[in-house]
Amino acid sequence: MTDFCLVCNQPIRSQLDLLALLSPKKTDQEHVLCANCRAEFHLLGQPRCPKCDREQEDERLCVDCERWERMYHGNFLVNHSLFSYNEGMHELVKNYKKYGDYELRKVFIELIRSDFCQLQYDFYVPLPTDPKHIASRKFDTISSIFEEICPLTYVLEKQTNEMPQSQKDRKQRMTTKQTFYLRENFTESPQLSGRVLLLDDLYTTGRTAYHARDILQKQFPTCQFESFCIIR
Amino acid sequence: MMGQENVKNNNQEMNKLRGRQWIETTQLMSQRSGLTFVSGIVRYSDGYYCNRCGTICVAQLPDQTFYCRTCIALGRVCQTDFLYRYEAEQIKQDLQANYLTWEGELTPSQQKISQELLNSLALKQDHLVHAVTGAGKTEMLFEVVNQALIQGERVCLATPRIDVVNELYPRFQQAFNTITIGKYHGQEYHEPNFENLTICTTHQLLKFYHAFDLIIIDEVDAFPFRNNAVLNFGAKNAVKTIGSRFFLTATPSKEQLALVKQKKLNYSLLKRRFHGHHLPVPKLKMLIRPTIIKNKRLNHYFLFLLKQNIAFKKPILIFVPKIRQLSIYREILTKKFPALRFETVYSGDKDRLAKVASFRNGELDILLTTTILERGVTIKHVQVFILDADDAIYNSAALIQIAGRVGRAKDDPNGNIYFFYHQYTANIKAAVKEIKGMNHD
Repeated sequence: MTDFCLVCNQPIRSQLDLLALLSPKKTDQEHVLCANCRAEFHLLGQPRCPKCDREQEDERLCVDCERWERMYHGNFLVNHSLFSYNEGMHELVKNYKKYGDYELRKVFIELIRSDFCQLQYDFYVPLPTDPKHIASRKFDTISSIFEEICPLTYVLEKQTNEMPQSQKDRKQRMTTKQTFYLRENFTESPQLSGRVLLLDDLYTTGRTAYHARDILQKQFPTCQFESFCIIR
Repeated sequence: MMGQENVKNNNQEMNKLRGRQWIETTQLMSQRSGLTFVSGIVRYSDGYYCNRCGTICVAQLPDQTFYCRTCIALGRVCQTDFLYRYEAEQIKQDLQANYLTWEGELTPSQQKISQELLNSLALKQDHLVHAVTGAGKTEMLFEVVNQALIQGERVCLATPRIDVVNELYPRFQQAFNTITIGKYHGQEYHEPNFENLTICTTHQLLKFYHAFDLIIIDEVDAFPFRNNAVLNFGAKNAVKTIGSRFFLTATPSKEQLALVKQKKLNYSLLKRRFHGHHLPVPKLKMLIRPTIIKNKRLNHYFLFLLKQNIAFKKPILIFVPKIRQLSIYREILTKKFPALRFETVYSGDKDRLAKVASFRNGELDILLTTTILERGVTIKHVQVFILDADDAIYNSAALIQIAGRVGRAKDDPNGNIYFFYHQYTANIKAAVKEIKGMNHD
């Protein structure tokens, strides 16, 4: 059966790859994205900010990270990101989150799978979504993507927010108050240990990710936290 | 956030929703005559179908319920949702004896078609107008739209492309300057309102149900309408059970011509442009070397002809098949012709409307574009180059439309249209044959 691209709806023509044909290992991976649409998404280039992966002119700390340095006295949250937030990515995020096209999770999975699987951590903690949004979308945007590529540990919950992050400007984002809290069964005994990776879709200022880490670090002080956000 | 429209209890507000259909996640409490609902997605023996766009649904949410991906940009339709419809009413209030404020004159052949359309309107029949590009289709519609409005009928003019909506709207507003015309497309969201005359994209038709007495679909052959069952479904749903659909095209499909033969569709043919001159015939130019050489240089023969045309000091439109090539062409051409003003435009371009407007105003010399400008856009004195005309993206209808951009003005009925290709394709052959055929009396 021919597969159709989930983004442009055109049939996907499989790239005839001589190496793949000759190799004894048969890679039978299903594709949900055609080559044209794949090219619309750009991997982050070099150089980047050493802490948050922002693509920039040099390898110095970016403005946001300088602020985090002051605010957290050098206790950075190292972030890993793969894609830049360009036109194509904006469109994909809009269709996935705003219109609630659940099927598009497969596109994100196809985009990040191979790179993401190279990151090895002890625990993977998805950042929760506003329960109000989950109710209207009927799915959780973050865990829907990651649950198919790594074992998830659900530690955090989120209060309903008065204004979604996407409608705020940078300054408003920076001053957002803490809205995460621990799930009940995690407040008792420590259940996280070792290296923990926080998972989110978009890293803009880092405010959300740092908030999540604050809560977790207080409860599990021995853990090392890093974050993975698909888009920077 | 999912774009649901809540029903207001207020009668006046409610009347704005006459003839419309919209999604509600829960059943409405208020009972009101004329307000009916169906399930958002309906199950037939071979699968689940969207009640708004008629497409089979295969995507499921985590709770296993189906949702429609095809019309999701208008708000997601889920299996658990309700599609509400509010019955249309005949307009009786404030009718005028005449709406048309246009004072131009039709040519005899335009006049004839205008009369044929009036007949179809009276008989509530469907009609196909097969007219060459630049025949003056818009003007031929004025009288029939006027007649429908006088009779208290609701009229919709739909076209697949936003650019064409933006081009038609001011022309109709000028021709019918005593009424407010509704203008709806994806890039110009505003609250739904009730208008006697609506101009919108064919996508927007999905928001209507048995609303219009007359729907005119301009450029039926344009992507994405052709072969697009969704919009045919939408056009059928949006017109009243007793109503007419008019299709305007320069390149009718085989299916449409078959309907004409079966006498299910009335037919008018207009071979001549309104200024009476022939269509410019494309000049076919075969290239041996690639169009772009190693991302650094352009084919010499193309550059040679481009230079010749630049000397005419007329605006030049260059069509390229792929968005990502736009920047390459722009970079090379800017280096080559530093004195000229270039711009690139493509469908997703945020400044698309502004760029097209500045090209039309003569603020740009050369506009590099993908196929978005193939239809409905009139730019005076324009010369057109199609690069890689053998690319699969250009079917013969698209090639005919692009060629139709040239020579539309009365004082300048000629112009150059070049098809550059490496392989002589069936599409190129068919396009040239159709153009020559229309020129032949």
